[in-house]
Amino acid sequence: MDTRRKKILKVLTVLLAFSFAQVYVQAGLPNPTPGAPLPQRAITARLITKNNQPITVNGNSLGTGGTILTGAIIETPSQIGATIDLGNAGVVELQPNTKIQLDFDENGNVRVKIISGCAVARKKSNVLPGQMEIYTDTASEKTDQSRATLGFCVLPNGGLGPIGSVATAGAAGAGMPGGEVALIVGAIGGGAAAGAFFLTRGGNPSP
Amino acid sequence: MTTKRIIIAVLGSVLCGWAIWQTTHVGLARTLGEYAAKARRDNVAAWALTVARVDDPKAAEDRAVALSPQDAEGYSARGDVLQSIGDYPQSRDAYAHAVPLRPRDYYLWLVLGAIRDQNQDQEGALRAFRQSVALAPYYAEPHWQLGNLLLRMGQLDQAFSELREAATANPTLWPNVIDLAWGVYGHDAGTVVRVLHPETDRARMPLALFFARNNQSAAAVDQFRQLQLAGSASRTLTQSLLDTLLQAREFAQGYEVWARMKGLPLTSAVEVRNAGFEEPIVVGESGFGWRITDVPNVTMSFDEGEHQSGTRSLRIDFRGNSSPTSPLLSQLLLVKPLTRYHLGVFALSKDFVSAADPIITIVDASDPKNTVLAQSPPLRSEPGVWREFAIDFNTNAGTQAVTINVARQSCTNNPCPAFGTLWLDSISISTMPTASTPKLTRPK
Repeated sequence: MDTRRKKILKVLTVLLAFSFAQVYVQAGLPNPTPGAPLPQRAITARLITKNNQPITVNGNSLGTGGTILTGAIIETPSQIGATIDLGNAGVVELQPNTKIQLDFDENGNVRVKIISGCAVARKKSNVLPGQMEIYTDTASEKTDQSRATLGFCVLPNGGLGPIGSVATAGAAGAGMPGGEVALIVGAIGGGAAAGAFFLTRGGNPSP
Repeated sequence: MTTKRIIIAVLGSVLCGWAIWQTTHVGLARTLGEYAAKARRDNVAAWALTVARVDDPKAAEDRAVALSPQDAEGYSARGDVLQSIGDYPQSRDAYAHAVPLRPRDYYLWLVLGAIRDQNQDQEGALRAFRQSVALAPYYAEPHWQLGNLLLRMGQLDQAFSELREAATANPTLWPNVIDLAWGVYGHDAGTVVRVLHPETDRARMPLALFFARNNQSAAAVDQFRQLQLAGSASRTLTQSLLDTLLQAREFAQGYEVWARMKGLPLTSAVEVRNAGFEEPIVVGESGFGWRITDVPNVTMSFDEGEHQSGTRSLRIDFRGNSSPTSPLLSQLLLVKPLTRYHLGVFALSKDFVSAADPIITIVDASDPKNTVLAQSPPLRSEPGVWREFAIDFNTNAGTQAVTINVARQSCTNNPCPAFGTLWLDSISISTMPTASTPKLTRPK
């Protein structure tokens, strides 16, 4: 074998080895930097929707990670539920085809006016003093010591009915302790957030 | 020589075998991961997992990760599956494994940030979102997620800086950004403009529309004045702005928008536009020109055969039953409050038969009750002779605009048909001295 062929063979071997080799770069996550104390937190909530599908907030399309301010009118389309994380105040979950007005303050008072559809309000117990309330123009239900979760639908007469009686026909009442709550929240979760908040890759390529 | 060849052949075979082994593992792992992600909503994927002898999507992802532990895809798919079953802490851990394996992928950082945020780790989420932004500075989503997180953390200036970047990359986000600024800064239009400092039409027009819808007409028009107004999209949005202002009864601002749309100079003079019907009328267009309503059995046309002045008039043919009080023709006019006006109109009628004659009413457009300020006598004339009708009216203290309506009188009969033809021409308006205006008297 002449020198030229040897060189070509060497180059090919190196190229072959390189092409099969997998180079892994181990990158450490940046260390947390002890920063300055945060400014006073704005009273906000965080939206989570199933598969990052958009819902309507104050007439605008909004998906997972969006910020909700008090007074917002929130509307879910069919097939898409939503969870509104109010931090220490609790969580509000909306079924598909639901429209609410959401008001909340720094004391954990949360008011959910159901305009149409069904909603669940789950209070984080003993964190903030406020109450959670689900109401319509003619009816109102609030959390108390014995009831940390509310789940209601607006009825055709403008009153409130337990979610089971409207959405799943014949389920439990509005008191909803323990397992029933879990069932209802789970049922809403099936259409709502249920944890799946995949963001979307791509879009807006660099100019 | 032969030995060397054998060694090279063996080495090549080993390399190829190793590559096949690796590729098979990666392929199998990714297939498992893909099926696991689909299994909750796809029966075929669920069946495939059963064939692969894995009990559930989570187990499939565990096996996928075990097959290819250095593949970021496996961990991210595992994170997705864990998310979907609500196991956020483990999902976060899965993404935390995926990110170092593919550290230049902005998407992995983005999802890691979202999961950390979900797990109440805002500082960790902040770092992940910042890294995502650094890797994809021209993408909207990283800026959007970072801006929202900063907003919830109370770092407002930085938050709106990021949200602005997001909306610049994806202008459909502008309405959300404006809505957030409006809420955070206490409905203060000036502060919202200062924080968002819009620099393009795509930013200013949604802001103008938002202000108009929230009763900030002055701020809306201020944004509108800075628009370049190019393209058909701008025309549509400008029409929306005009409609919003008129709906809010902000007539002066609405007129400014309309005049600019039409390329007309702003004037404070009170005048009826297209008073002799010499110019075309665009059907269905709102604003300060003539508006024609489509009423059954009534047709309108320009008639060059009959005119009181100019070259043509407006001809209205009544051919049967129609709602008598539906306005056939109307025009919105800016006027001054507490002023007396004289409206003159020439009309010609022919063979008109109905229990309800055509009339002109002047309605206070600024009054939500639409109070009628004045009404003409029935618009009938001698055959072949144009007749002038005069309507004098006073505007109220709150009157900024009036509507001239051509309709028929209310009718006691139902149905209330009308037959015949009416021509209108040479409509004019002028101010008159009010009763309280001191009159000059000639000294005796």
